[in-house]
Amino acid sequence: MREIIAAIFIIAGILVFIVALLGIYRLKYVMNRMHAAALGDTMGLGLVTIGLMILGKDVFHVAKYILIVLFFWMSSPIASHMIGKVEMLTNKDYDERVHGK
Amino acid sequence: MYLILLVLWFIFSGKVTLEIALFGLVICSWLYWFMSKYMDYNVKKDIAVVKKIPLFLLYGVTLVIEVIKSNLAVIRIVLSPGLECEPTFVTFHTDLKSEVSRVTLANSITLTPGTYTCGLEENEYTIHALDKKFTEGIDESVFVKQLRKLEE
Repeated sequence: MREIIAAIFIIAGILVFIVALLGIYRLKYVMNRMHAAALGDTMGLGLVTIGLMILGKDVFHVAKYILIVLFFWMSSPIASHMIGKVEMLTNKDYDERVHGK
Repeated sequence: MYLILLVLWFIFSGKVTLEIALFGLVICSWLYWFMSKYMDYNVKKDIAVVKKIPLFLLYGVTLVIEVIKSNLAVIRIVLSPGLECEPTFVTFHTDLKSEVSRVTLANSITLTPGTYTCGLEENEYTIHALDKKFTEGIDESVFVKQLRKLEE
């Protein structure tokens, strides 16, 4: 039973990753693509780790998975912030930025 | 802070034995002494933080709920046939005082898919949003209210 619930969570996480990948291909501009990439960072990773937490053997496994999510959520906004800032400083073409899908 | 260090030590060692506990106590005491001497940590500040733990937990729960909500919205946009979205830029000002809470707000905005912070200067945020509806009420979001409580 535990394995089935864990598998459901992990498969849901992988589906979110697939949607994120699809979004990166379908959207056309760097800044819009980053939104799609953020899907995998937050919900995909979260669901997969919840699935693995259910499979975990003792409390230390669960704590380590929580730490993985915590550190990832602390560091990933900074990376996307840097990408966004560089894109904003280097590309002055406002029209493309706002209306290009 | 000392307790956080000790808990981290136990998590990374993976089991609790007398030997590990003794080593952990010694190493954490030394680390804490180092941090309070050179890195501007002290017991008073730690006690002030401990009193705010329920607010921190509440903030974490709100963050997770917001992340899930905006995730579903972005998934809907990505899977919609014509990609129905209007990417926009918004700038807004905040009245948060401390730098820590400003950065936390910027990081929370970036962490929720659909919006992210491209610029943060003094108290002016530049936000890029995937769709106009993500920007509604962004300058008075739940994060701002909770951070204001945390600042007090």
